[in-house]
Amino acid sequence: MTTSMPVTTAGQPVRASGGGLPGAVASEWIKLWSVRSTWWCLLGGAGLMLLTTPIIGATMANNKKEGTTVPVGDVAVATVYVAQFALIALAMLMITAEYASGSIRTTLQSVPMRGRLLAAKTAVAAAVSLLAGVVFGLIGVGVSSLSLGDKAGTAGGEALGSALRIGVYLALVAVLTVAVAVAVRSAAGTLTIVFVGLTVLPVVLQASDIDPLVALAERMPNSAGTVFMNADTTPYGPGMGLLLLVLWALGTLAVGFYALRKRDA
Amino acid sequence: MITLQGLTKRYGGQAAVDNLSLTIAAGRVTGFLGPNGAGKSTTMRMIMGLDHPTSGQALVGGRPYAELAYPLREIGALLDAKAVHPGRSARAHLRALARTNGIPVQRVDEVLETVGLTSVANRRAGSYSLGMGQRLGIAGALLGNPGVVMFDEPVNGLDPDGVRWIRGLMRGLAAEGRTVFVSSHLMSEMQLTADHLVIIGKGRLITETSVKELIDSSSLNAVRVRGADQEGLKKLVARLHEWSVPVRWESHNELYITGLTVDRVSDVAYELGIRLHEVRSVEASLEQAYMELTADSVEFGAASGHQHPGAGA
Ligand SMILES: Nc1ncnc2c1ncn2[C@@H]1O[C@H](COP(=O)(O)OP(=O)(O)OP(=O)(O)O)[C@@H](O)[C@H]1O
Ligand SMILES: [Mg+2]
Repeated sequence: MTTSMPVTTAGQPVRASGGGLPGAVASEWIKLWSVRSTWWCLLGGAGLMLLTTPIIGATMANNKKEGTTVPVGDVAVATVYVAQFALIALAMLMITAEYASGSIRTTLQSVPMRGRLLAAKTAVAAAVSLLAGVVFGLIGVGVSSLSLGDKAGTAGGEALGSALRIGVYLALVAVLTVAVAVAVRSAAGTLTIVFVGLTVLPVVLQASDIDPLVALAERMPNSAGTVFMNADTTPYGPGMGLLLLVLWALGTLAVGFYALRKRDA
Repeated sequence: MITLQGLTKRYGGQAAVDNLSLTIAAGRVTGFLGPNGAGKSTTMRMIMGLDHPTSGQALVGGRPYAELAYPLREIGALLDAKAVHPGRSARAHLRALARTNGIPVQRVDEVLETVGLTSVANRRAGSYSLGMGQRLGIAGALLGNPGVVMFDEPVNGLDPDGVRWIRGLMRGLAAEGRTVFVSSHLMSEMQLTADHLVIIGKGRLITETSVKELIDSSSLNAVRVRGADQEGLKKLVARLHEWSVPVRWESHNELYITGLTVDRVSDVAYELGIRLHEVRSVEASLEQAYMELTADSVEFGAASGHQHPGAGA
């Protein structure tokens, strides 16, 4: 009575690819999913979103006038600034764990072209962060619409748009992190630079009240990200925010590529 | 085949590898010897495209490493054991490697079998012993079925069984016509494994020779003569001095004579009417021949103490 099922070889890629960039990407993919830290980072990020969203949502609701609603997308965006460090850790470990264990030498033996290796790592980090970011965003809008009740602003497709933009932002932050990690090599150094660059430095610059520094702070990844994700219109539009993010990511990537090419493994 | 052309690596002003030119041929095991800090590992890293030469170049099959489309199919190397993420299983590590070079995944199970890790292939590499880590590194080197293999101190920390296994593996690979290039400090092991030797000191080539030639050239190859007839032995020494043949008292009834054959020494003793209990040729070990040769280029030798075996000769 049973219909015959096609026999599949479960999950294992049995086809040998021709190497090249697709091979390098496949290799990075296998490496990413074969260590536990990846799962911890993703679970940790999702957990942070789940736990922090109601708190941040409540805070934002308290700051609003009676009778107005809080857009759930804004709550999700605000929460991402906490949860982003889970994906920063994920992207960072793709590089720094290799330097720490010495396996970078094995990797570079298998993919001697530095540009190809960096492209593969960047692509995998960005793709995973994009997907995870959208999921984080959906958790953010979902949880905040539940926790805020009738104060939740859930207008139209806005919430979904926020989730998508959160994914794009986190993908670009992952690229930025990969680039810094390639240049710095150590986990401590990478985390310090990314943390200071994303959160501390903009605040310090902003507080300086010196016009060019304030203008710089407004154009750093953090602020650009906020403008982009919230689709704000000041001090510039969301398109400009995205462009600035992309420029930061590519600029840092260029520095990372230069370091990777120039230095001995 | 590996070709080095004026290969040079400087760190600061110091040359770690200094104008090294040589060819490592296929079909034999070439031992790469030299004191600590001689530049062996640095040379190997440059061959594998990991470190940039300051000048000169290293070629694998006639091309620089970076230009090989499928490098793992041309050359496999074990540079440092445990160059694996400790949280990743051996199988995942090898599958990831295979994908980069278009190597069929079945090869992963084959090499795991070859190195005897099949039963632990799904365990985290961090839980492996030193020897297992070494075997995993070798599995990675063999993955692409390359014509050239290179091992940096592969028997470090291995038990006698592991040492024998690696010896057999290297001999087998060379017998299949592959190029095998291996560094080691264990001279007794090299004597058994290598056919050919490249010896460097302070980054420079000291000599390139066969194991047999090196041992034959040692001044420690001698004829050992033993007898109870003290006066007779003294007469023999006097005669040898006349001929300027190096001879040395090993103990009151034992002589070491260099540069004459056993037959010749026996004949001389017979002519002089000396009664001997033993006339035997003693061959230097590779270790002794090597120590003699590199005495001048040991960079980090012990400050004082032992006198190397060549000193008295
Ligand atoms: N990254 C580096 N920076 C500075 N100096 C280095 C570096 N790598 C190696 N050296 C130096 O280069 C020289 C050669 O080192 P190398 O490791 O190649 O020697 P080796 O022959 O492999 O020694 P050993 O037998 O101890 O393994 C040493 O003096 C070492 O200090
Ligand atoms: Mg070494």
